[in-house]
Amino acid sequence: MINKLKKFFSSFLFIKRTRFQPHVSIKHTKQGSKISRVAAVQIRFQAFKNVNDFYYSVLKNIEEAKEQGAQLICFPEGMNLELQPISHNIMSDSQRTYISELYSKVFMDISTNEGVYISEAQKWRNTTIKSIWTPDGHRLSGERMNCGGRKIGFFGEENYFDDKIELVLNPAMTRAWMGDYESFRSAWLLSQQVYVYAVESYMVGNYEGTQFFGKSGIYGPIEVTNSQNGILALSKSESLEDLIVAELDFTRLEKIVNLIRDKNYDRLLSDNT
Amino acid sequence: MLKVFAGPVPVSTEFIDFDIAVTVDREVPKYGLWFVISQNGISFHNSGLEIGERKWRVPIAIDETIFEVEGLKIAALYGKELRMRKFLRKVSSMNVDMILGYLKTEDYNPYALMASGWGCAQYTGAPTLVVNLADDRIGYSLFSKMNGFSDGVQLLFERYAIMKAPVEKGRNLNKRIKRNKGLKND
Repeated sequence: MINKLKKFFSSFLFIKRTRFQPHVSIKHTKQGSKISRVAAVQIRFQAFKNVNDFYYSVLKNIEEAKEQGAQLICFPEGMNLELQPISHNIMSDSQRTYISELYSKVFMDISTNEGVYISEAQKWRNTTIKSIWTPDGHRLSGERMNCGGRKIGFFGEENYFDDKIELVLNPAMTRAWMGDYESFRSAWLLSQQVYVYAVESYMVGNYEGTQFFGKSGIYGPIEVTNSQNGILALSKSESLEDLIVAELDFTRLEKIVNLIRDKNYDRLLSDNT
Repeated sequence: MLKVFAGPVPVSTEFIDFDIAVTVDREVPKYGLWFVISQNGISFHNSGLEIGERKWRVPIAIDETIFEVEGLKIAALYGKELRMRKFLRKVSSMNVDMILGYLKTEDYNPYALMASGWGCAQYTGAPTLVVNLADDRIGYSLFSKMNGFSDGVQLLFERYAIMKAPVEKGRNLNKRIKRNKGLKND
């Protein structure tokens, strides 16, 4: 009963805000503190019949992550597909735009009202648009950005080390899953090879007859993890929903990076050689 | 497939047929192609004669890390080089056939081996053999690029092993093997 009431009011307020207040009023922001605690949400694909249900589903995950102290919450790639009534490939651009705007409003609204940073990635034809929503309602896009006092990049670029990126986000959706070693192949490996923290969140489940798998994880170089395995948090299953949270020690990371950094190698690897 | 022996020299006599060998022993046999790895560097020996070496220091040029072995290019990397993505990209651009790595760790940690050896193989695509000195134990590991049939871990911290690295053998190497067999049979 309480849940139903909560769902009704959150949806009601969302509709009120998006219809009658096109410019979001900032109720509260928590921008003073630097990001140090992050969450990865593993979502099992489900097609929502209306935006309110989608809103409530996202909000539920955010609240759970916030309860565990997360300041940045990373959602997987392709969540906009959950809002699309027909196949993404046969939709017209105007339909895609409409859904995309609705989807963006959900994240903007929740990030503002809950005072958290949210990372999400929309599928758009064959590309992916990755964004971070800030507590003041701004959308940050691009491969790398300053956000919450940290230098953050999205997975896919190469020069993280040179650009002194501290945290890499990998919103993912994959159908090829060849066992547990798959968990090490992307974000974990990047974390070991460029000395960054990495958050990876997967969309799992069935979309249009295709099965998607993945184990979400929060990783760091082995030297900064107490268990010396580079894993700060890892999802229990590759096919079920999950939420994982971990604390990132950026001071410890900086010490390791300073130890590894070597001007002689920098010279050797500069583009002039 | 390239047949590689890794382990102590006396044990190598159990295996009559391999293309190249890797050891940490100082006494190198008078036959075959041997890589000798130590805490200071790596040397390459052909029929007992040292014909190349690399000290473990920052190379002046990437070429310094590469040994041309009978038509094959084998890169020798140590420690943090195995995890330096930019460095690996440069090495990989030299079309190396195989990577030999030396890793010293305080204790045996499979994750450290994964980060260095397995990661190197995934990023460069070249099979990577890592000699790991963990505390006072020596272990040999072989990693290859992951595919639908293999997770890429061929061998993990063995005292000695004969292994098949997925490397296309050059024509020169085939000739050399025949000569080596002749020498051993004499």
